[in-house]
Order: sequence, then C-alpha cells, then structure tokens
Amino acid sequence: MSSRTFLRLAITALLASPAAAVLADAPPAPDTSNWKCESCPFYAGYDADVTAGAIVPGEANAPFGRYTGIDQDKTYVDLDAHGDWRTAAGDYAHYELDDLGLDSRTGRITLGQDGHYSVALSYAGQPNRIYDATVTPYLGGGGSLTLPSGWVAAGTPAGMSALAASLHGVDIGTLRKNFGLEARWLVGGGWSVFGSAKREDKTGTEILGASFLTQAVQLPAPVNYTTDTFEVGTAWSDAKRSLRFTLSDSNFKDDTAALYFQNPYLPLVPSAMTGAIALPPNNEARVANFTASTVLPFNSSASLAAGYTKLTQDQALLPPSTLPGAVSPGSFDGDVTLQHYALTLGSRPVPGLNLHGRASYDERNDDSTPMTITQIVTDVAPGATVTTQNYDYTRWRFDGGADYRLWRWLTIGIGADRTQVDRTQQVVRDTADGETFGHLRLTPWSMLVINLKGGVATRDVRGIDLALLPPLENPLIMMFNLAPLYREFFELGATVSPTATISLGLQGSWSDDFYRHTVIGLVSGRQRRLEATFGWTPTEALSFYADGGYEARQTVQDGEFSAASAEWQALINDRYWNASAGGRYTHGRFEASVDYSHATSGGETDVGTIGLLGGFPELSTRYDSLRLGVGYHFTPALTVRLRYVYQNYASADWALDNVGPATLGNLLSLGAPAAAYNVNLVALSFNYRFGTGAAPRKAE
Amino acid sequence: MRLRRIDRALAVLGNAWLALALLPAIAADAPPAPATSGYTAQGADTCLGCHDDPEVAAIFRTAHGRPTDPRAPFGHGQLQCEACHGPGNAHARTKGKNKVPVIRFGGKSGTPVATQNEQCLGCHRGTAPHWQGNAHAANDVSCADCHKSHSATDPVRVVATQVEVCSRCHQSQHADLLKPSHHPLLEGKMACTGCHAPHGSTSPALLVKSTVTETCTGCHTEYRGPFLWEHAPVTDDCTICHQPHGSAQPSLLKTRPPFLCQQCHQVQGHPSAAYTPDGLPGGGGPPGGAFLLAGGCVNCHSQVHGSNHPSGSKLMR
Repeated sequence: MSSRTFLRLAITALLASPAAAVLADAPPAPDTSNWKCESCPFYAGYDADVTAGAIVPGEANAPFGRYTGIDQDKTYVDLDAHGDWRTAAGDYAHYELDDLGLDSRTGRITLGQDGHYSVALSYAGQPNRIYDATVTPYLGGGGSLTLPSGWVAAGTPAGMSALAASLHGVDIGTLRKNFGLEARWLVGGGWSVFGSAKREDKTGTEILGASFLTQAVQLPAPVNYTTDTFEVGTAWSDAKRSLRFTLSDSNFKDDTAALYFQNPYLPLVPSAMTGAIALPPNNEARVANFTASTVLPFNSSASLAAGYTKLTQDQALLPPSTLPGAVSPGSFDGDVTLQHYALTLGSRPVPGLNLHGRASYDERNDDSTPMTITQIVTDVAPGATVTTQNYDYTRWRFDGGADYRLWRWLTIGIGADRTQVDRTQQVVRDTADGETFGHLRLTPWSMLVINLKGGVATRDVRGIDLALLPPLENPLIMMFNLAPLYREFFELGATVSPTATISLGLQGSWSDDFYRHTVIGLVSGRQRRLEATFGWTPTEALSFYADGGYEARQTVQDGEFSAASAEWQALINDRYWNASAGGRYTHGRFEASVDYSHATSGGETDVGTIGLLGGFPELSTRYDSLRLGVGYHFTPALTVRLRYVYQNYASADWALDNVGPATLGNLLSLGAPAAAYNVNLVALSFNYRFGTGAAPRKAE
Repeated sequence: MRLRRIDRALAVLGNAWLALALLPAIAADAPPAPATSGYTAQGADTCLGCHDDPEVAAIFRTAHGRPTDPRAPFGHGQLQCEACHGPGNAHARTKGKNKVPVIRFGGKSGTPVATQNEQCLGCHRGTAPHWQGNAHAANDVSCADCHKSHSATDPVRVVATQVEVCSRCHQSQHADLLKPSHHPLLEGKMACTGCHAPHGSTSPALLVKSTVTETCTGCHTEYRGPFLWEHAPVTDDCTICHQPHGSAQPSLLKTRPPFLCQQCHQVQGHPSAAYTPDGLPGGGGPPGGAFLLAGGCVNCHSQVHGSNHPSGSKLMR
C-alpha cells in the first residue's frame, strides 16, 4: 500500500468514525428546570487596579537588563493597570497593561460578548540588550558604514594608527515590538471563525562578521525587520470530534537589503576598498493547516493533521562583488514547499492498558531555480563557479508505546521510535534513527512514585556519496548529525510526599553517545543530570521551597589537517550547578517573600595533538540573585510593596577576555567583553484597587 | 526492501484503523443507558449549600462561571457543577464514611486521571485534538495538574507565570533557563507555549509547528529563507547546533566555535587546524586570531543561517 493510499484510508476512516460515534452512547440529560442557581454569585460590574511606583537600579547594564530593559542607572516608572468590566447580559471588557515604564511593556485589551464574539488588541515589547561596552571606528548607519576621515589603513589592526582615536561606543541589541489584533466569532453549533493580524518590528544593532579574505572585521550591523502575519481559520468541535482549518500568510521585510562597509585594512588588491554583505532577504510563508480528531470506541481516539507551507523569495541580488564592472545576476526565485501529515491513535481499551502510536510524514521540496554563479571571494579575488544546491528531504516517523498497570503499585511500559530521512544533495542520503525503551512506574505507597526509563538509540546511514563533499574536505569527516550512532540512556524520576505538607522530587538522566564509525568529527558524547526539589507548606500562610541541580556534558572530537587519520583531539567538559531556595509568608495585612538563586557553569577545553592536549583557561559563569519582597495592605484597596533585588554575575571567557579591537592580527573586533554586573535594585510601588468587587490580580 | 516493509506496516495500520472507525456503528446497537440520571434536584444550589468557600466560589470569576455563555457549565440549560464533577445526587445525600464521591480533579483526588481528563475534553476537544497519545496523556498528567479551573487567574495561562507551572515537572528545562544564554522565560517575556503545545501535537517534543525549524522560524523569521545559498542543517533541524532551553555558550550553541563547526567541517587549511591555547593573546604559539577568538568561525562565515549574496557560497557574504 502506498503512502497516498494510507492517507486516503486514514481520511476516510476519520470522516466515517464520527458519524458512527454519534450513533453510540448519549447519556440521558437531567431535568434542569429547577436549577435556578440562586446562590451562585455571578459577577457583573467592574473592578480595576493600578500599580504605580519607581524602580531604582544601581549599576545596571545591558547584560542585567537584557530582557527587561532595565539597563541604565536611572529611575524607571513602575506602572501596571488591570481592569475587568462585565454586564449581566454578558458584554465584557478586560485589560492588562504591565511594565508600562519599561521597554518590555505589554498590554492586552479584550472586548466581547459571552458566547458570541471577542476582539483583542495586544502589544508586547521584548528588548534583547546584549552589549553596551562595545566600540567601533565605523560611522554611519542604515546600509553604509564608513571610516572616519584620516583613517590610516594597515595590514593589522595594531598598525591602524587612527584606530584608538576613532573608537566610539555602540550598543548591541534589539527591540521587538509586537502588535496584534485578534478576533473570534462563535457562529453556533460548535463552529467558530477566527482571524488575526500581527506585526512585529525588530530594530537595533547586531554584530556581523565580515572579511576580506583572511582579514576580518566585526561590524555593527543594522537590524530593521518587519514581519506581518495574517491568519484566518475556522474550527468546529463537539464532545467527541473536532475540526480546525487555518490559512496564514507571513511576510518578512528587511528594510536594509545590504550592508556596505569600508575596508579598514590595506587592500589585498588595489580596488578592494569596500565590502558588501547581503542581509536577510525579504521572504513570504503561506501556510495551510488542517486538524481533525475523533473519539473511537474502546476508550480510543484518533487525530489527523495535515500541513502545507510555501516559502518564497524573489529578492534582487547584489553584484558578486563591489569591484568595478561586477553585475548583479538578477534575482533569486526561491521556492520551497513543506508538507506534513500525521495520524495519531490512542487507546485505553481495558483498565490499566494505555496504547498510543503515531505515524507522520514530512517533506521538503526545494523548487528554487538553480543559479550558477562565478564567485568573487569576499570582494577581493575570483573564486570558483558554483551552482546553488536544493536541499530536499522526506522524513517518515513512527513512534508508539504501551503501558500496562500490572498491579496497583506497578506499571510497566515499552516504546519505540523510528525516524527515516531521505535527503538530496547531502553526503549521507539516508539516515534511520531508532529508539527503543522500557519503563517502570512504581507506587509502593501512595506517597511515593518512582519512574524508571532506559533504552538504546541507534542511527544507521546509507548512501554515502563523497562526491558531494566540498572541495578539499577530508573524506573521513562524519558530520555528527549524519553519522552512525549508538546511544544508551537511562532516566530516573521520583516524587515522595511523606506528609500532606511536604514533597520531595528527584530527576536524573544519564546518556552515552558513541559515534563508532567516525574517524574525524565528533566521536563520543556523554551527559549526566540530576535535579532535586523540596517543598514544605506547613500552613496556608507559610511555604518554603528549595531545589538544586547538577549537569555534566563531555564531548570528544577528532580532527586532522594533513594525514589520513586523526591527528588532533578536542576534549570539552561542561558542568553546571544550580540551586535556589525561598519562601512566602502572609500574616494579616503583611506579606513577605524571599528567593535566593545560584547558578554556576564551568567549561574545560583541551585541544592538541592526541596524547598531548593543552588546556584553555576555564570558561566560567557565576550568577547569584537575592530577591526580597514585602507588602502591607493598608486597606483592602490599598497595598504598598517594597522589593529589593541583588544580582551578581561574573564570567570568564577566553574568547572575549583580553581581546580588544587591536589585539588580534586578523580581526578588528568590537571589543565585546564577557558579561558581568553587580546590581542592587529597589522598587517601591502602591497598588490601588477599586470597583464593585475584587479585581483579578496579576499572578505574582 | 525497507520501503516495502514500511508500506506493509502502513497497510496493516490503515486497515486496523478503518476497522476501528467503523466499530461505533456496531456499538450503537448496545442497550440504552438507564433513565435515572443521578443528578441533584437543584443543581449548583445543592452543591453551594455545603461548598460555599471562596476558593469554590471563585469559579464565578472564570469563563466556566458565566451564565451568559451557552457553552459554559453555568450557561443556560447546562449542568453547572455537575457538568464537570458528574452526577452528584448520591454525593449530596450521603455523609461521613459513606459519602459517595463525585469526580474530583488533581493528582491526589482519587478519580482516575483518564476520567478527569475526559470530563474536560467533553467541552475542550477542539483545544486538544491530539491529546490522547501525547506524552502528557501517556504519563497520566491530569488537566488539573496544570490548570486551576476555579481560580480567577490560571497561572499556566499567564505568560509571566506559566514557566513556574511547567517547571514543577520539567526540572531540567528549568535548570537550563538559568544558563547564561536562554530564552526570556524566567523574565516572564515568553511562555513555554511559544514553542510547545502541551495538549498534544504531531511533531516531536510537542512543538507548536510541524518541525523544529518551522517552530523556530515562526519568531526568527529572518532565518526562514529560502536563501540563495542554504546551510543544509539549517533546513533540517535548528537543534543540530542550538540548545533551545539554555546554554553556557553564546547564542544557545551546543559547543562554541570553532569546535562546533569542526564537528562537521574539516576542509584542508584553516578549517581543519587544531586551535590550541597557544592561539590565545600572549599564548606564544601560532596565532588563533579570528579563527578562534571573539566569534570564532562566524567572524568571517557570519551568514551561517544562509546567504543571499551571489558570492556567498561559503556563507561569508
């Protein structure tokens, strides 16, 4: 039977089964004529609350305020507002406005009528501050970066005599602004129609590397992206079945198509004075998705999903170089189709038995028109004539499992997963990943649950075609995602609740990866993890928690640069620790909370001739955070809250430490430092609540 | 040969499912359910006579407690408390040790998880079409393990607090979020459901879209392509290079360049050279320079997600 026949059968069955299911069980409805609900405190009226205050950070910087926007030593306004209005007829309005004084502000306003329609407007700001201590000699913006007048080019950054005087600060980071409009209309009979229009503006500056052959420079590149997404859809469901169909169109637009930058080095060829780098091209994604599900007899259910995506672009291309006489080869007719089909079955046919399985098929067809282009390498020298490659694949995935509760205290289970991928234009044509596992759930006492899982995973490869390797690539290389693999793994989970107020949890995992046929590339990997949690809630007013974890990852990879076997090796050991503890307490009008979190990472990198490895300085990060919060309810309507946050972050990174703009002979860098901060933050806010009842508060 | 085996397996699977799908028609011949409903005489008024504490009454501040929504349990003609908790007449009429239980929700409620979840799915089938068979269902996670249906604010449905709920079980992922490079979940600016569909999906790891790459490029649209020059693993799976929950390496990378890149690229010349500590500033040996420090390989090959420059086949422009 072909896959198409299978899909036809699946669709037929899915459509047939609901009709049959309708004929099955329909429980008798009670007489509800006397169900007045007279004691039900239905809500109508309005409630609102406003929080206003100030946030004062000390010694804040970009890494501290990365996602909040609190990155300056200044006073920030702490302003939130929430409200809820509802009529007895079911009309309602709801708004949540948070962090209005910060770049990370969010807002959502919803209007509607129960059971009929809803409309929502939303905004979310998402800053991503990365560096505020980077420096560059480049001037200008948009798509053109120039060097200051009087610039002295040289063969190395150290020789650029005007460099030190030309450096000025440039912040690296972006800000996303997400605007949304969503609407839903409940048509009746279980049907709904919905639609949304969303816009995301992402602006800022990012680090972009570029080079003139082996002379490299880090550029402060502009980010001016806009993504508009429109979606419409319809859905239907009843107690046993559901359908959902959506269409969406997403357009990505980059306001800066290319970045031109002056060559700070002595040009390797006389005319190589300027470089040009293509920034992400405008693109469009059109997506259709269909989902259906139904309940089947014997406590079973099935669902079907189908998805079709079309990715396109037709951006005008730059000339192959900035050298005189270079002509653009036109535009690239990019056209990729993605398809996804899946069928899921789940069943609990008899008490204690749980069966589940899924078959899915994914396909990527790159129908882009191939282009053959004679390259000019980094705007300097003629290179090879190369034809673009279309990467296609088909991916079948089957997974399933069965669990059976043998006794009240023991559940056993097995499962398997197989993924087969056929690719084009890649050195390995076929990979088949398989995983087989067994697991146990032990519940010797109701307070104790232990989960154990163990298994093996393998990857087999076929169809290796060394002719597809890039020129001068070592034929012994095995790209690790396409290499034969054998993995052993084991997982442990346990929860114990010796009393109603105490709970403990433990999770651990262990895995060993062996790339046994790999001579050059990643040859082995191992991971160990352990996490533990503790919770104690002696009273409703008092609770404590603590948790901690450890993780170790080790990889071994071999490389070579001339011989037919591995000559050098890299041994990488990464370790992580984390711990946190805290509690909450309320008493009358008083509330307090405390949290301490600690996280440390360490990374050892040893590289060298096999048997004679040299160690890099240890990579390390250390994060400590103490949060204290106290609140006092002066009246049911007025609350004052004081928050104190101490955060300390320190890191050592051999790739960044001591690397200034002129340190390296072949890189004019932005001098990005390893992240560090030591911040004390105090926030004082007043919360006032008003309306006809207690407004829902933002979860804290 | 292998494809033939797969086809055969598909044939068996397809036919078995077709047979299963047609079985309900047979089941329709089964005798009807008894006429006694077992419901209380006065619905919620009966229940609230005893269960009048604020935690229970908070349901009237939720979507479930709206009388004007015909779909809600308290909508006109609906079964009120008994819509979720099941027929309660016997429960209301018994006391003490002989108290007949109703359906209760939560891990320690005594009601089988599958029974609890079926109650929820009776109305929310459209929200969770792929529920049965997904990892949460297979591990006996109940809806109430994550959701607080009686609470005016359900923390798992709030972006800022959702991660705390998910972290109660997914401790490893929570620990990853404490690593230096992470998505802004702990900062409350992103929710787990930005990437994952906890009610089930047909992709690995309960992703919201069909593949890893489609999920990631849902937000990172600049990497969506298609590009003139593609980087093959980018078209396949972003997690070949990135750890989405957190990493001590920059940009959520599994290992830092150049070593990450050298796990796949050993081209004669600088890509296959051993970059040792001698290449550090003041290291005394051959300089590592741009090949090793700052961004490593991406100091030159910055377009690792794809290049649209005619001379960008090496992802340098």
